[in-house]
Amino acid sequence: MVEQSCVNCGKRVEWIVLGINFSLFLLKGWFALLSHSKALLADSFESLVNFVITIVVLVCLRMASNNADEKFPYGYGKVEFLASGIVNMLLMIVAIVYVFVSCSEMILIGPERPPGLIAIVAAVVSIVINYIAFGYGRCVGEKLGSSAILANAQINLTDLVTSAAVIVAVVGSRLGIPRLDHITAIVICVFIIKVTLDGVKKAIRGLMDASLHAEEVHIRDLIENIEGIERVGAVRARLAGRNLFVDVDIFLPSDWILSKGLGTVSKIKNVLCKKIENISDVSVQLLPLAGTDSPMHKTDHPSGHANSD
Amino acid sequence: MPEKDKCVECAEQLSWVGIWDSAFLALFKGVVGILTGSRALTASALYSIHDVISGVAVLIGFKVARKPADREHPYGYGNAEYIVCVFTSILLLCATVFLLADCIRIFFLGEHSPPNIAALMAAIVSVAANEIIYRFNICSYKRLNSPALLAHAKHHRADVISSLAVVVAVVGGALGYHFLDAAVAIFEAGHLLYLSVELFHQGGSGLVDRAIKESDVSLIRQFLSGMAEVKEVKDIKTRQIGRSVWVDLYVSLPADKTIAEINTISARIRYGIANKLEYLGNINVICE
Repeated sequence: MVEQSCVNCGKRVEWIVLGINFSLFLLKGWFALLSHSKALLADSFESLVNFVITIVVLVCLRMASNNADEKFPYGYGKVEFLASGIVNMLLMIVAIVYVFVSCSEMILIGPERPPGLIAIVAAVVSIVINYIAFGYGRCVGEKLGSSAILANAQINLTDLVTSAAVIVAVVGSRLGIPRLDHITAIVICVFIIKVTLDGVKKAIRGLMDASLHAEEVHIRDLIENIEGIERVGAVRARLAGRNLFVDVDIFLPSDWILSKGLGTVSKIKNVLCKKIENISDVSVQLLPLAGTDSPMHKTDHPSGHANSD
Repeated sequence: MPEKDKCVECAEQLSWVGIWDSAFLALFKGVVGILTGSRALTASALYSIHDVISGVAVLIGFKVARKPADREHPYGYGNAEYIVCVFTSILLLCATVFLLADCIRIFFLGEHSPPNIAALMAAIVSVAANEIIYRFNICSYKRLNSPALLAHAKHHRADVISSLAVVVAVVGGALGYHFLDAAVAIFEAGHLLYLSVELFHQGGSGLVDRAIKESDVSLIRQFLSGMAEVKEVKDIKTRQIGRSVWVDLYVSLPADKTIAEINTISARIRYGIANKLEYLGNINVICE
């Protein structure tokens, strides 16, 4: 049983992390300007990235809860994929530009002066705060069993690591490796490029309705043993933001009457809605067992569905 | 008909020629525009980029979207076309906004760069190349009546006009009207903003599973109301996956029929609708 206080934490945690990321961005950005540390500047950009992406997801969740209408009969869930794909792409471009600028600066100009020790203060503050935020997020995520919150907490952990790298960079460049600050900045940006690229890929997978293997196998397992179902045909699942749409074909004895078949359908719906979170719609097609194949092949279009058996 | 086959072949080649031509012009005009400081020419380069994007999206629509659905992508690859539209239109939008800001700055500060003969040459090359492609497109559009070809033709025409405007700006600049370059560029950038938002909206609403045209939905409804076995149509959900249309029909059928009979009715429904709609991807008939 989940405690009420944990549920409350779950509602708050995203907003709290949002505030933390934005404050850290401001703090690190300001200190980066004061101390002339490129690594700290890149680190503050990472906090900005986290902030912007969280904002986009939150705004889209609001939008996605708008109900379906005539123009968009499946609802607005996919706006989340669209927005996060675009934002990740733009941030990736910024990071790429920053890598180029840093490289040319490092090679052509070289460091003018070592970064100020004040950068270390900001990095230490960032480490402490991120550690607290990570612990908080992990606690809430584990108690509520939410992978989204856990993934968010992971972001704080990576931010912590980059801040630690900033300390190494600042100390190192003062101790006689003058280019370490630039190199760290570039490494952080390359890391940001990787993270945002993953975000773009994930968004594209969602937008293409890529297959959700784990969910499909799970759904198949759940309904296979319902009585009367002779065979489960194609199972397709797709995500629109957080909403899961499921299409299932089931084969029933061909002499059953429809009303009996509809009883099986409602059993399927009950089981799936109970066992799987986020299901927003289950469509079940009833097919007779007598040797017929999935109906997808009967449409005369080349993109007819490949049977997943 | 060998005549028509020739036209089909010509149309297929045209989409490639059009893309390469626009890509080359975009690069050429972009480089010359930036080197000579002619903002109007740079804006005209963005028009060519817009042509490249829409050309590539249409090609992807035809090629990739025809790939059959597979295990990884159970709904097919149709959305690839929209994804290309969305991501590239955002980049175009950013470039246009930067250009617009730059032009407005120049316009108000009055730091006009002197007219340049190279910009004039680039613009003339662009006018000629685009006019030729436009003529070819219009020719095969008239023979084949394909809306995609007409859209291509219109894009190249817009490119012709934008390059002509550059010619006017350079000539005007030589006659002493230095503000013309920035003015033309602002005007063109404004139009480009509209074009890229349009491109984004087209791709974006497709990706959010926009329904098909209302007239097509009522075609389906009409067909279903003609079938005696269909007692009630609860809901019709449709979505575009690229070029193909996917339909979920929620109908109530007589409860005393057997599953085998229901299957025959569904097959008739599928067959009937497949004849009414172009580019049908899949129909689910769901009994409620």
